[in-house]
Amino acid sequence: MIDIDYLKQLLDIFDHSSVNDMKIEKEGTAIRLTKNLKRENAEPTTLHYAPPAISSHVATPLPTSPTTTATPEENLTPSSPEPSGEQRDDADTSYHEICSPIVGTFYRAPSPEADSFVEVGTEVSAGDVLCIVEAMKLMNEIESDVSGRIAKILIENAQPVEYNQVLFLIEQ
Amino acid sequence: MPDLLNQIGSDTTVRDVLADSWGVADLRFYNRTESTQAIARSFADAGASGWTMIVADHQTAGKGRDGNTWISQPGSSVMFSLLLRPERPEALPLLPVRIGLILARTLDDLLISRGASPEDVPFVRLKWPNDLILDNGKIGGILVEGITRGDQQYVIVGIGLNVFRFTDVPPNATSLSLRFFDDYVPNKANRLRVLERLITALREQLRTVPEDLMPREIEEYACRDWLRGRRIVEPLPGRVAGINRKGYLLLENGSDEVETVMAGSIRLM
Repeated sequence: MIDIDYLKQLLDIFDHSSVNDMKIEKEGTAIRLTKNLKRENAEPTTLHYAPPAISSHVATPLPTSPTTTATPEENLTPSSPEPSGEQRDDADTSYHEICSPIVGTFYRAPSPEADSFVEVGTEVSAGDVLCIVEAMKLMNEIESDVSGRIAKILIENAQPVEYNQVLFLIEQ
Repeated sequence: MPDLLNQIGSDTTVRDVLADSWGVADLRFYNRTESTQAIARSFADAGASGWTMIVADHQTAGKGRDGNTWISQPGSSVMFSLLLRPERPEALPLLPVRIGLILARTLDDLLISRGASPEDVPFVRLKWPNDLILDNGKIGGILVEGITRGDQQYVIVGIGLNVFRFTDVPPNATSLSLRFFDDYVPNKANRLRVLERLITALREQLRTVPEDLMPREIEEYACRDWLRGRRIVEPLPGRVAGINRKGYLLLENGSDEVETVMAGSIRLM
């Protein structure tokens, strides 16, 4: 197994080098390091409000914070450092994820006195409002894009949420 | 010049000419409606294009923030809702601040063109995150509502501006006194002209905007920041120090640290 301090040093060296892709094999563990050149060379993010013609509305994926990512390959032991992403115990491909489109505050009801839009177990249809994410008075209603049953609500009411954070799991 | 806003109604020829001149995809006028936000939303759900604009002479249930009602009387205000379909959602939270800057700038120009002294700018200030302030009173407001379904997203920007004085304001309707554009210009204001200036400014200046506020935007906001230096008790107690590049409110709380406020209603001390 690769020592975590060794891996950190390796990432540091790799980050400051001109090498873009590197594979290391040590003591039965293989690690591949790849620089995300697309992001480095990308133009500054801009928001386009396309004039009259209907635009496509593709949410961009959550950017990863470092420019270096460690991709575990074969032979990785379960306790390997630097997994490629956060693992949820209940991760299940049969669930449909509803994510936050913006950084903001998560509200389960339209006002403090009102009932929650949905509870665990609520059957929802595509278009039903699930919650509001608010940022600086921009009240963003999040609607379900599928029909199914609310399996999990992953955030407490009035808690901050990050861009692309999973809010609900829907069982289809 | 007569104020023509309440005469347009369903005149499709005038409507089409205006839509073309203002560069909006579609334009609908209502002499009286419950809420332009609600109409814009129904248009959006039916597949309307971005930059569809809904204008009303009078709203009977106009929406303000936190479920409040936007107060107006027939013939008194400029009120419209704009459907936008942003391609990328990252900068959405900044929309109220950014639109506030564009509107404040445009209203300043209008005031100058109507006789106000350019040396006295800025006239219009911003009360974070969505109020337009003139002479320490509220002259307008911005309400931005977003709807997200999967990877589809649209926003409805609601803008209300008090143009002609009205007196029948319910008690406690706003925490600030109301101000009216017409009181600050020597010649009688014309709502259609005001509307035209506001929408064309939005069309020109909202085309492409970066994800974060640019330094010049932060600088301009600082000049227009009505809350700056004031003490507030909600959502957190402290003295307002400005906003950061994300548009969040910065609060000094007496310690060395500056707190960042992302959401919540402001209550002054």
